[in-house]
Amino acid sequence: MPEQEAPQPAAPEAERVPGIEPAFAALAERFGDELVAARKTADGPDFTVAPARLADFVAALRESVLAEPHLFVDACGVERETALEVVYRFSLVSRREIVTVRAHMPKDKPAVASLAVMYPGARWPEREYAEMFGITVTGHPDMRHLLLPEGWVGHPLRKDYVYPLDHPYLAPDPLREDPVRVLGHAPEGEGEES
Amino acid sequence: MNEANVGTTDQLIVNMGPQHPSTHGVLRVALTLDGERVVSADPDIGYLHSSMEKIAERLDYRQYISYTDRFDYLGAMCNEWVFVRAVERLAGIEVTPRCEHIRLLMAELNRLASHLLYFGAMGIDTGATTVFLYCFRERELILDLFEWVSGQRLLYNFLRVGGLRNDLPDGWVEQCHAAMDALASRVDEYDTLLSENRIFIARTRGIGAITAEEALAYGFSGPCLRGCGVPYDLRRVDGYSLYPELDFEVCVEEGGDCLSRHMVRSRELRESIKIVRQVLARLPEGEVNVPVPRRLKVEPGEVYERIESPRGELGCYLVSDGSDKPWRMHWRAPSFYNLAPLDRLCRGHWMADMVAVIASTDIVLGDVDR
Amino acid sequence: MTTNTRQPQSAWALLADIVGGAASVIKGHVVTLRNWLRPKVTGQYPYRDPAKEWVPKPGYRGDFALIHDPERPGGLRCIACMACANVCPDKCIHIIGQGKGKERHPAAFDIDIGLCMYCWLCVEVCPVRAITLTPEYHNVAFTPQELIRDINDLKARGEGIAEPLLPVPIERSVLQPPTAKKKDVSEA
Repeated sequence: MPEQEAPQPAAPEAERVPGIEPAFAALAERFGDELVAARKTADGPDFTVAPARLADFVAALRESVLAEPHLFVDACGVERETALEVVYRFSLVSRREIVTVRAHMPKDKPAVASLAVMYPGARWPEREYAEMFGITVTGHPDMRHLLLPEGWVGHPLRKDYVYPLDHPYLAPDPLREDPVRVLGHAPEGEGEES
Repeated sequence: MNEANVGTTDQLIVNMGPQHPSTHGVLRVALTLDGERVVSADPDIGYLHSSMEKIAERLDYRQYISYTDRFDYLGAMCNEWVFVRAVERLAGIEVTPRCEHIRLLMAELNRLASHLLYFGAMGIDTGATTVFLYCFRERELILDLFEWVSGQRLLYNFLRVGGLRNDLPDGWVEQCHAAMDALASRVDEYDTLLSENRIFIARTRGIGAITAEEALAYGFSGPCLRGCGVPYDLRRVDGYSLYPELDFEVCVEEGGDCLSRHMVRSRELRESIKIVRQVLARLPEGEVNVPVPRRLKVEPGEVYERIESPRGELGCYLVSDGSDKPWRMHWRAPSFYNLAPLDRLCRGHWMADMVAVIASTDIVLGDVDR
Repeated sequence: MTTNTRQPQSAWALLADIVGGAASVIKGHVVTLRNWLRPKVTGQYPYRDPAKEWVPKPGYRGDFALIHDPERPGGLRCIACMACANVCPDKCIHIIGQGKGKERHPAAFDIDIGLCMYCWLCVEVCPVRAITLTPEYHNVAFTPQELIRDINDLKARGEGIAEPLLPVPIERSVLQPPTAKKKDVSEA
């Protein structure tokens, strides 16, 4: 296995150390405080931007690090200790370089600017993290539920999500719940369940 | 669209699926039709959603490996591989050379099995039943190999963090050689039956075409993207594992239509046979497992690990908080991104061509919904 | 847009199309004919001929069995340590232990194989290698109740099995070799 560098220590709870590396000075100048962090990792550049400027920022990247042909790889949400985060990934076609763009949002009213117009491949993953984390995606052409049924309550990938065990889709099966009880193996004598 | 028709026919919304035999799983497509022409196709997914990402948060790394088999069940070894690679990269574990060889071997055999199933499904969906039976006969040779080494035919749970469930049994390598010889002589037959067949070509050439720029923006990957003329193969781009040392060709076809995607897979069958033979020839002796603590805890951090699965770029995004369970686990599922442009691929074609388009993207609905 | 509609073409092109199409169909039929002469690989199921019955390779992960140990109470190796019940991702193993220390053995041992996903982790974590999966694959039943294996059933299935079944010797797998048995118990 070719040993890649160990990934940066990025504790889920802690904000990453903010810092703009000199290579991205032009971007920092253009976006000011809204570019929260810009680092180079073993995989490629890693940016953190303000959620409202996400689409603008990626458009700006298309003139610098994403100027070559590149693949829209992925978009997903992550719940950190204090914030929600969305992660977008792009990959250059010619060599191994993954460009990561993140945006942090408060947990109570998360909103992010959609990339769906620029990258049609972002439509589905944005719908997915919107329903899974309750993130509002502004500028998305079609915000129906993707994987969950229409009208599903709650956002399943949030850490505080409680599974609706009384949901009609999930009819409980007493046999599956507790076969020991159903089969009548009562603990006998000195037997104990450890 | 014919101008004269617009005034005389109404558009009709037809549900294709969720249990249509050609949707490769449980996929519903809400088709808007004008006569037999597709005006728009709206895929409705989620029928096979199994909370793979939520499940990962309550299981430790060892327990989750058997779940990775179950979303893209045709590329199970690849799913396991990318997951254990991600965990190993986070935990800083290095596996033995023999283990790395066997893992690569399994991934390539899995690619063969998956492409063979694709051939059969593509044939059936375009009306050629014979090739389906032949491909399944040869796929059985590979599944027998898997069954022998891992104990199961489809859901292997064979890879472990830091190693494998077990070493290769005695005689396995010889049987693998024999299977490759048998398969290599049959691949030409599939091409005769399918790729060179006039009817098949008429049904696939120019159907579901997409340009390279659009394909990249849609997140197309794997054989679908290589069918658009983009030489994006992670085995070469990333050069992970032992692939830089192996001799194989990245198969690229211009055109971006169903036939190009088909031809890429047809050529990849031969390349994979070549890779398997090379790996068998250089398989080193030695241990396959390195010691790993039973309750593996990895450092806090995150990693995005990706490999080339039979369907495209398969990514595993793993966020750890330092405990023995992942904090967040996300799959970059290739089928998910390969299905998304269905509307773009089908628009304006006959409804019957949609079947060919879905088959040519080689999606697995378990992979789409996760 | 209409890519697959036949365009008007010259008589020669039409003729070439017909001849080429017929040739590709004939070539396909030659392949089919060749395969017709090859040996048949399919068989009738349920098996009409016991000789043609499919026998899985050793180490196939089918139904469960508990391995015997006549010197222990209950006649089983199992020490009811709950390692398998805890590691099981589906929580389909239910054990009630009895006795203390060396005498500890399972009073009840239920596996719901309708819930099981045959991941083999229970075999992997067992410190005394008391449980195994066997190549028995006829696991069909009419009711979910029949899919629950109890201790007598599991014991009967373990008749004649000495060690967990694997395609390779135990030393070449993630299972601990037999010599490490004692050390493992103390660890667990």
